[in-house]
Amino acid sequence: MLTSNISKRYGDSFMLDVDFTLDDDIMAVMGSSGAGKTTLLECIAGLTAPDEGEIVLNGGILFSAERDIDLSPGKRKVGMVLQDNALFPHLTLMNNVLFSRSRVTDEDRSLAVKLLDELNIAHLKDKYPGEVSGGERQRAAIARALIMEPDILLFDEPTSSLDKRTSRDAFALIRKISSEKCIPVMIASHDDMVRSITGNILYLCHGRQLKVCDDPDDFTEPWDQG
Amino acid sequence: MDLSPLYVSLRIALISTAINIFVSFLCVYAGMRNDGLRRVIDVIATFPMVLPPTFVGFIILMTFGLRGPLGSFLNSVGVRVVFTVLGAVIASSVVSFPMVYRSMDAGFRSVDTNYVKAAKVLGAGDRKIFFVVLLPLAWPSFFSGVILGFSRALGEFGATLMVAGNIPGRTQTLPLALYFCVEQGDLKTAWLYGAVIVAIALAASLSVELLSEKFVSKRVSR
Repeated sequence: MLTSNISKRYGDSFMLDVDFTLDDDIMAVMGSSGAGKTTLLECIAGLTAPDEGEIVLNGGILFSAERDIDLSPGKRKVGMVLQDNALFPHLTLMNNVLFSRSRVTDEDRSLAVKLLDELNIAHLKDKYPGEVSGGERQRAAIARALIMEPDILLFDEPTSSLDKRTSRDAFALIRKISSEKCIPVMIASHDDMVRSITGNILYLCHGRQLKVCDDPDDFTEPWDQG
Repeated sequence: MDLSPLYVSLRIALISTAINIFVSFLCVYAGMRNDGLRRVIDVIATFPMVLPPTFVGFIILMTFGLRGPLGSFLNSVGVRVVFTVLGAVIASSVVSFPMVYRSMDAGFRSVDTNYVKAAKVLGAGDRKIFFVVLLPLAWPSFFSGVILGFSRALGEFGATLMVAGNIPGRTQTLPLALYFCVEQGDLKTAWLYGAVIVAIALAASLSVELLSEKFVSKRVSR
């Protein structure tokens, strides 16, 4: 379970001001460009430090302004698939998946192949990211995040570079991973298709949390309400 | 045609390029860890580029001359800089340093920050990020910086003449030999030296072009 009650300022205005709890299910973070979706994910991953508040994952404090705790990204057990996947172009898919290992053992290799196999791309393990399709790159990025056995999985605009059909497959895959691994998943997305896999939506507008909606039928764009 | 200026030039350019690779590498690495330090290095690295090479040579001469702060010390331990190959190497290194450093630095800084973020989330420390992510991705800029620095070192004239003089077979480089051929009216040899310089410059430019293409085609996304 993730609880996050944080704020981050840029000058006098808020870049981010949220307070929510996420159980072991999927939460979509929606909002227009510059709403703070990526900033929120980066705060949870430890890439950006909030100014105030606390982030707690499964009882462990990842960040606390009051207690001066700010765990480094590698110690947070947070898996993140960044926008455009950010697979290292000079490494094969296999070596991308094994990147988080400081000394690669045979067990690590077997685990990497198993993960790639679960995602149906084991046959591409020796290919470079530039040699495979966008959907296959995304699966490799997911395998790279999963090998860390994360306690939460974050996706930043997972369908931004995918066509409609591949986007649908990508969201179905995310839902499958969430239910099989029993870990919470947060998806920052512009894509309305994200509502097909979750009704749990956190709306952000200029960094502020407008509302958390847990009923997919109870949906109106908060920024359209006037 | 006396080929000794070619050998002297290649020797000096190769040594100074090797020194510049090492120093630039350290500077880029230090600069990436400390933004303030990077700004200081940037300013220092710009000087040899904006100052006239003869003035750079003059500063080196004053520093490494027998009465200079470093020169007097080095002389006391039996090392002479002025009018030696070492002097030519120092002059060449200082003048060509900005080319190597700036290309390398630009290459490292142009790497998509998403790769650095991905590496951090995967638990990589600064050293792993630098050597496993940034260095391979910045390799084309790194290589072109090395070639540009080598070419600049090969063509160095003013500072080298000031510090190392023009001693045939020891410190007389191709540009110096060409200049003195023209001064003595030996235009035929001057043209030959010029052709050698053009051939080396062409080979350097071509290798940068070919290597860049190779890297770009390998990383192109579908």
